[in-house]
Amino acid sequence: MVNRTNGQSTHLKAVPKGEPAVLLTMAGISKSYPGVKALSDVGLQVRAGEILSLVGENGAGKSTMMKILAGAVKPDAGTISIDGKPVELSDTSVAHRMGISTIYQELMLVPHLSVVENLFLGNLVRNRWGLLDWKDMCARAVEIMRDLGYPGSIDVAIRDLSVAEQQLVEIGKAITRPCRLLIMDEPTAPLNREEVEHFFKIVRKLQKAGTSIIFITHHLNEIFEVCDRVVVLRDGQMVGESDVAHLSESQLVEMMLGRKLSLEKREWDRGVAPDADVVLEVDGLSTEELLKNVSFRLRKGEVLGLAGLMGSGRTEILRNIFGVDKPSAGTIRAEGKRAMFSGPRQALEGGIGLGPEDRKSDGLILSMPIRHNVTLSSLARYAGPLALRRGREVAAVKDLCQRLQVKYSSTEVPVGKLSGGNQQKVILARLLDAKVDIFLLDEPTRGIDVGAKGAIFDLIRQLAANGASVIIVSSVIEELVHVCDRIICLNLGRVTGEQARAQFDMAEIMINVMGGHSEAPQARVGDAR
Amino acid sequence: MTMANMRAFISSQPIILVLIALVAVFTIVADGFADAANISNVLRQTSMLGIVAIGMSIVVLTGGIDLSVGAVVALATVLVAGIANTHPPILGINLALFAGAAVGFINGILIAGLHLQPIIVTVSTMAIVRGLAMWLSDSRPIFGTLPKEFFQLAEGLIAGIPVPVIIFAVLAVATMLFLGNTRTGRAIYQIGGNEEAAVLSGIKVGATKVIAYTLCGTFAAVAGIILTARMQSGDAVRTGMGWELDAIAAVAVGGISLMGGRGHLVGAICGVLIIGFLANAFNLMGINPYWQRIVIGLVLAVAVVAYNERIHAFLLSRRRAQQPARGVPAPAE
Repeated sequence: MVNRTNGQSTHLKAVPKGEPAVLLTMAGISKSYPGVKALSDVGLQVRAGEILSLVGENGAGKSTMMKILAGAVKPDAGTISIDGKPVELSDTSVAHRMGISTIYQELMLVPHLSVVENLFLGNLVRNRWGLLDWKDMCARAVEIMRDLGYPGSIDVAIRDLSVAEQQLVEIGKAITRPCRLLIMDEPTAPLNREEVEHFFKIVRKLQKAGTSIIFITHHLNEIFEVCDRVVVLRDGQMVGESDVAHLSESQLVEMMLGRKLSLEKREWDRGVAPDADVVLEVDGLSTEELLKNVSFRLRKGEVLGLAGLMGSGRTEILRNIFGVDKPSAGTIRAEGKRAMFSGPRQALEGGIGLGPEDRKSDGLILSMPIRHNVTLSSLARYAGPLALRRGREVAAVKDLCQRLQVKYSSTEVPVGKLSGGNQQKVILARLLDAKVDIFLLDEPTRGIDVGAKGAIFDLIRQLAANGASVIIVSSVIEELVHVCDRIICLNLGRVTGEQARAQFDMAEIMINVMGGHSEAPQARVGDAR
Repeated sequence: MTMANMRAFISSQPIILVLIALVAVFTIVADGFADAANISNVLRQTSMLGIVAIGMSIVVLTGGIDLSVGAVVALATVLVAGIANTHPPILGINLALFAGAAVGFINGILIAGLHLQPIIVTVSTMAIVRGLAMWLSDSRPIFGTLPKEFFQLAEGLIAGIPVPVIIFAVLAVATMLFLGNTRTGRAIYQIGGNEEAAVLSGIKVGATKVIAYTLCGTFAAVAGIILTARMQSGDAVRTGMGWELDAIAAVAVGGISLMGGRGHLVGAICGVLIIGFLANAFNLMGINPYWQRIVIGLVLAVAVVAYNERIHAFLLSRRRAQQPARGVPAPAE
């Protein structure tokens, strides 16, 4: 058994002096989901006691990788070994036994149970009578949580803790059992700056105790502050790996972006004159939790992109404009008039429409036919004195579907049966039928195949050419660069950059989005080399 | 409706075929089942629960539930019978309708305005309304001095059809038209289908829910008024007991999703008729009444299984008879 070093050629190489031992090796890992190749032939090494950062754009394969290590997903091919011995992580309990703990982005705590109950959930300690040994568990809980710098009581219910404290409990939960590898998915996303500082202290402490850590983050400064090594994934492949000490921000961003624009290049008829009327003016928009003094203008016929990661405030900006959420400060003006809408209905009446981020859960009524979904916001126009004018409605829906090239057999087909691209078109049809002038589109191409994406972008450009104004939110920068006239970068609720089409520079947008220093990135590439 | 549309509609409502099949079977096995007098009698008896089930369907389609309907039936009987001693019955009828609407309105306001759970809100109004009826009647049956004409509401025939059946049919058709052809009706389905999407699309979610619960309470009162005429008395303790559950059972058997947004009123009406015909046929065949309850429970269980999408998907995947996926071969030594 000891000789089985299949797929671990590194063991055969001379290990440089001082190089720490390898804890875990993944080799040739592939995983496909219907229609998507999530990972292809990925290899990864985790050294003992290192903090490894796994980075990549959305959809690069980070979460699949993490789920495989957690035992939640089985790879189609490839081997995993720990301490040089091949293992099969057939389910999560096996992974736990191997000393691998995973902290997901959505915390997996039970809100109404106490800290100590959550710490030992699924791992309860029994005394020799087979009863739960709360005395022992409480003693250990106090010790663990004190080490993590948690100030409160272990008897408090989870729902009464702050997010940062809840996260400490998650970490505590991971280390109640022997933990050799701790995997964390964007653990800093919900934390403020001081909390992040404290969190890093804990992480370093765990590292000193010999735990290896895989740390998924979107924030460049965090990678450079706390990580030893970084592995970059792109489109399900490993495209780079480096010690952080030998890496500059721009080099990292280049690795992440890789090849440029994969979409077919198109020259749009760009007709936004710089003096076109301003249709929407956002001034000093702030919210309690996230947005800080966001200001921008949208001109008639313009396609404006908001580039940002999850938690950057991109969705919040749209929701505030649409009247779903209320800002704590700032003003929004539409066509020169104050436009602080009290709800979606008022916003729609004011000519502003939202295509929500999550098509299925917020955008569409999947069980209902295309027709009902298209006229959802405009049904008043089809109301007769007694009953709805169905003939008119059907005709209007058919017309819209034709214009937007929705592929459908009948207007009575439930929307849930359509492909993602066609579903998105149904949402656009709804906004068109509601006769809005300003389209707020949150991730309009998420989960849509490349061909359909092109069609959606064509439609968006057509809308703009016909005098509508569009704000698009996306975390895929190349798509924004493809379709927008102007891009605003967001990081942690602040505007960190703005570029007009003539100056689009993907690397710089990426740096701004990830909260890196925006000053002269090119110079730093030179430095590092 | 064209023939093709009709066929598509029936295949989307398989419960219609189940009802027809049951009637056919009972006609053969239960002596006297198919007699005009028997059928007329069953329909008369079932129409009151049917009217309650129409209101329940509206609420369930929004994704809600109303457990107070049985209590509203009881309150309506008490009000109609109690008032009749001193006033003309029309006053009692109006008062009962108003009370039913008011209970529904309050349910709606609490659920839509305060975002409370429908089940909790209506359990509490159920207790309050039943208690109120008991207090008003001192928990004793009220044999009001009701005029003979009033009893026509239950016993009368128009063109050979019992009056309650006509009221049931009129309300059913009106509700179908309302659900299918008005903005509010459409909104009821939309809210049940995806409340978040409905909100973001500018639908008046709160107002629509209030309308749904108000209609449900009003329909329960209508059923209570007819029941008063049928019993020729009011009773706070024995009327409408468990009707909320029977109505929910009928709605579920009829294929209206308790999650809301899916299903057709025709299904719920078939559900009510199935429950009514089952009980009647079992009586005619001399089967122990306890078995009726058991069989109705079984019918509900079968319906829930039959409507479950996961089970559909499972059966479909079995039918496709996919090759069993092979496991990863064990590494050779």
